[in-house]
Amino acid sequence: MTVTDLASVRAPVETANGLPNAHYIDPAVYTEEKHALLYAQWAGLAVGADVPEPGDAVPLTFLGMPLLLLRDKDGDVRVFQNICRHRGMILIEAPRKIEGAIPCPYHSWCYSTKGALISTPHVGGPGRNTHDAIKRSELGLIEVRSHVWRDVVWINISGDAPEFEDAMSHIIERWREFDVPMYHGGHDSRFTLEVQCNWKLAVENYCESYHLPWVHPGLNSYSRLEDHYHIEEPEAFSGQGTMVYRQLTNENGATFSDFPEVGAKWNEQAEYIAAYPNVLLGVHRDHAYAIILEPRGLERTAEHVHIYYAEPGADEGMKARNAQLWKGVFEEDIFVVEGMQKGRHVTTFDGGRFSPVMDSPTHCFHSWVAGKVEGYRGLAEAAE
Amino acid sequence: MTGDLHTRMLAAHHGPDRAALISLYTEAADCANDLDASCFFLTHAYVFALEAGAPQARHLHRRLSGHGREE
Repeated sequence: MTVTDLASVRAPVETANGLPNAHYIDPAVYTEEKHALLYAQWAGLAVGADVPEPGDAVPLTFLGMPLLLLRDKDGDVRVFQNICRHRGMILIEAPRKIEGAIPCPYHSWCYSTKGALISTPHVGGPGRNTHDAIKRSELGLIEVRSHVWRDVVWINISGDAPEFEDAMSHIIERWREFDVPMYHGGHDSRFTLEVQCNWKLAVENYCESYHLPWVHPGLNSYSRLEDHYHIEEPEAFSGQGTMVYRQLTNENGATFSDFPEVGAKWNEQAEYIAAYPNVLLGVHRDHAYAIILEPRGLERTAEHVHIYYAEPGADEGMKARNAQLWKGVFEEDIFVVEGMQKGRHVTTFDGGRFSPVMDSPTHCFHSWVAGKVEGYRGLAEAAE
Repeated sequence: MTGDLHTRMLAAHHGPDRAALISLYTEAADCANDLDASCFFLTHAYVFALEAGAPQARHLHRRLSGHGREE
């Protein structure tokens, strides 16, 4: 088992090193982080807009685990293990609408959209659908702890993280003004970018504004480096904000509608926060977005982008332009995260050093990773 | 079960045509000459009705429960 030395990562930013290479290229550390950073925390899985109507069901694979995202008959979003309690067979292979119950395709044990086991055909012999040993009340689908906030479906696979509202209290409070209804922009407001890097590199790049003038030169004309500020909440999130957000306009000068009552503070201010572990969020007076980072392997990540507006009927042309604008920005970042991934194969790289002034949000994330991994190792040792 | 019913069942499975499956398996249950065979077919009709969210599920459940074959 690879055990990395994380002491220097937890040091103050002035003297700290970044995470060791093994955290980007070693399968054993990837497995360790899967448990410490993703299963044990509130990780982003999908968005509620993926299952807009009751009965909508979407099978997903999260770190190799088959899960089922569905909206039950009462409209609540739920996440289940996507397997039958009988022989562990996959229940749903492709997105579809559940009209009634969910039958297992193997022996037809049936589940309600709330996960209850409602029929066990022939379980007591042909035509006999009950047996004393099979207690349906104990054999419902196994539900994964989930919570919807800002339309992101967050899951805690280990089941023992603090309540979502407690774990995310700082960011919930920080963005209280944006706690208003928001509407997914629809088909053109969702896209996925596949990148050849460990998922953490996408977080690290998102956290800081240091790279903006170099990687996103198009921003320089109106959004200079000095217009940005750091956002840091140790053990929870980090990111950056801007004081010069400019609204998109169409040829008639029209803009998107503002989120109601967000306040004058946000007229030209916008914020971009990485909610640890794997959700990248952005808020502006007139639109917001969420990026779910799906780790698809040690060196592969899918970035699922969803853009939201204050009204359901926002102008289609403007939404398409806005999505294209953001897609362009996010695509500009791909060579950076993929380049850093390649760099992690240089065996003598020490994790790198941070600018004490410009890189503190990234260091905040590294320090969080190190702390969670060390905590996980401590628990594992105690259990031995 | 008649050969004709069997052929119609296979065609319904091929679709699949759930409405037809519910009625054909109910028909098979009604034609069966012993209780176990009847409940076997009723069970299938019930599962197809559950999956489809069809109103027949309630009646089929009642029939199976009446024979002590369903909770």
